[in-house]
Amino acid sequence: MSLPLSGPAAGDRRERARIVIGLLAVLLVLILATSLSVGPSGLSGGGVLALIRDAFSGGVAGVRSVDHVILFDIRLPRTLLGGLVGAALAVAGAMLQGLFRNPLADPGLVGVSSGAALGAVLVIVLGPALLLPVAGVARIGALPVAAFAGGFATTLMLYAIATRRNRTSVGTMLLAGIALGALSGAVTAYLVFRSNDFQLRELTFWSMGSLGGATWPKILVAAPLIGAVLLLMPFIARGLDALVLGEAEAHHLGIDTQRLKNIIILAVALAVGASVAFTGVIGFVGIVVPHILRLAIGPEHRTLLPASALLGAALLVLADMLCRTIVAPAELPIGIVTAILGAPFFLSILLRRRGVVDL
Amino acid sequence: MIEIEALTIRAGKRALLDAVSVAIRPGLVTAVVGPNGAGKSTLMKAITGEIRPSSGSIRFDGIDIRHMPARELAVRRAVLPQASSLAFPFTVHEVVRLGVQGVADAAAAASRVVAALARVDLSSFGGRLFQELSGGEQQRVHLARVLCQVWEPITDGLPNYLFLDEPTASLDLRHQLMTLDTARAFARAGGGVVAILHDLNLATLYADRIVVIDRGRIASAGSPRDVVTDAMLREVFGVSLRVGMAPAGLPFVLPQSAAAA
Repeated sequence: MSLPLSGPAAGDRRERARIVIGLLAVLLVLILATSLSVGPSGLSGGGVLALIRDAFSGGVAGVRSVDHVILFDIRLPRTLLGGLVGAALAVAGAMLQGLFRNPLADPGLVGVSSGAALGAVLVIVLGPALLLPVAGVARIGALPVAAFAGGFATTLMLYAIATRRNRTSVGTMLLAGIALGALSGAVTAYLVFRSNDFQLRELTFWSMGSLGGATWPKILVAAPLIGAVLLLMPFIARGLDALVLGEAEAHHLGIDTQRLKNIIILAVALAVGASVAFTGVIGFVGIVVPHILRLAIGPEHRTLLPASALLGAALLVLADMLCRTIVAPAELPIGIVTAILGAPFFLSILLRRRGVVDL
Repeated sequence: MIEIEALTIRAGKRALLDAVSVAIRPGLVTAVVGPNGAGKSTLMKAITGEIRPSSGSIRFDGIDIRHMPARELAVRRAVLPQASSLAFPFTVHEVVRLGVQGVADAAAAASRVVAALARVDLSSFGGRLFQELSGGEQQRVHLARVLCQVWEPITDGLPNYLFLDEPTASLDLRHQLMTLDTARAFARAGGGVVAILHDLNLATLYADRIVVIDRGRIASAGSPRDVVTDAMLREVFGVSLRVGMAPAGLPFVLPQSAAAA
């Protein structure tokens, strides 16, 4: 699949992008299926198929088997949450990179995830006192709202600090991200310091990230939020492409840049907030996935965004499979796996494009 | 016609443009010249809708620019920036295609990209990465993109406009002439062209009208013959050069004439 070097279609990578997106969709389906049939309980492919067949024929009566619970109440929600969060983080990364016109912007690196985590931790530690009268369902709702608010506030501050006279400075962005991340981290650490044992266990989970807490109610809250961001993709793709030329040029090409920026900041906060609220901080997905895809299919957002969603979902579900199998029956926090894979990747981008971060 | 009336742009207390009134006529190439910091780019930014006037009005064929959203403006005018870098590895083809987004017919859009690349002498460059081109080649890619955006000089009986901010700055001589030939052809076909130029000789050669901006005001405006004079060079640019006259009746300026002055 090499690029045609001459002829009228030279440099047009849309055909190749369509093929890659098709392959990614197949890959995602395979990984989802594998994820459902892998786990410490020993329930594997054949059993899973039988259970799914039973479920469709309505054959489940009376007491549900242990296998049935494992598949439908543990593995399925966990796999779905992994797919949703992976897609959300990768797409948020691609959008943020388009907004900042820089391949190094990642929700985890520039403090958006820490801001969202701070919002979530506030709810966990102070929530019981404030939300005591309302039941658990309200708490499930309060978590993403707080995480969204935290992520939104951080993205907004970051953009305001890093952008002057329509130019976004990369150095300022990364440094401001470090400062904002440290600030939310400090407040988070203080809350951890003040929290009781039960809260502490829940909080540890944020710092390293895990898909282990996946339940159906969480999916029901996360799916519409992340789904809304994914539905937005085709509408902002052209704007993001134009924005790559610069804000003035995007305006000249007919883009309402202020509106576009507002939408991107909202969408990123929504995607990251919904992810962080239920899985904690999972880094590097947002930087690795779009970067690989830009090399494979080019940076046009009409194809980059959906491809990022597919590859992000596939990668995170795959990483989660590693987490729950390599040290079974114990589990590795997924943030460890994504960081071990992602950090060297980040360094390699830096080495190849040192000019980009010229402070 | 674009009518600019009493246009004032302030940055803080300072007036970058002070009650500028000028008309941009379709069918003509209008060159904007003036010393550094005179307000040429500010004027262009205001006419293209990038910055809002502090006071005064700009009308595109009768419609106030404040009532034209970005999308409507983009159909009527395209803007060639001075220099612009890309953060992501777009191919030349992909950059130029950013200009044809309004075209519904995919085949027409594709052939327009090919034709535009041919126009700027970059036919074989479609598959190259924009970032790896030289400054002058990048400038020509942007020109192709801008040409794609307002392909027709006239649509629905209304003229379209090209705004070029120092279009020849990083180009070799051959492509300087090629770029301005393209601009002139667009104007001769009924469109409007506004170009900020530093080279007064290119301005007198290609422009039908020259507008001289100095310290935020219009110092003079008119045909190259009327505008490019010894007095203007002395008062606006602060140089004592002698303006010569080429055989075709066009004025020219040689820095060497400073010695003779």
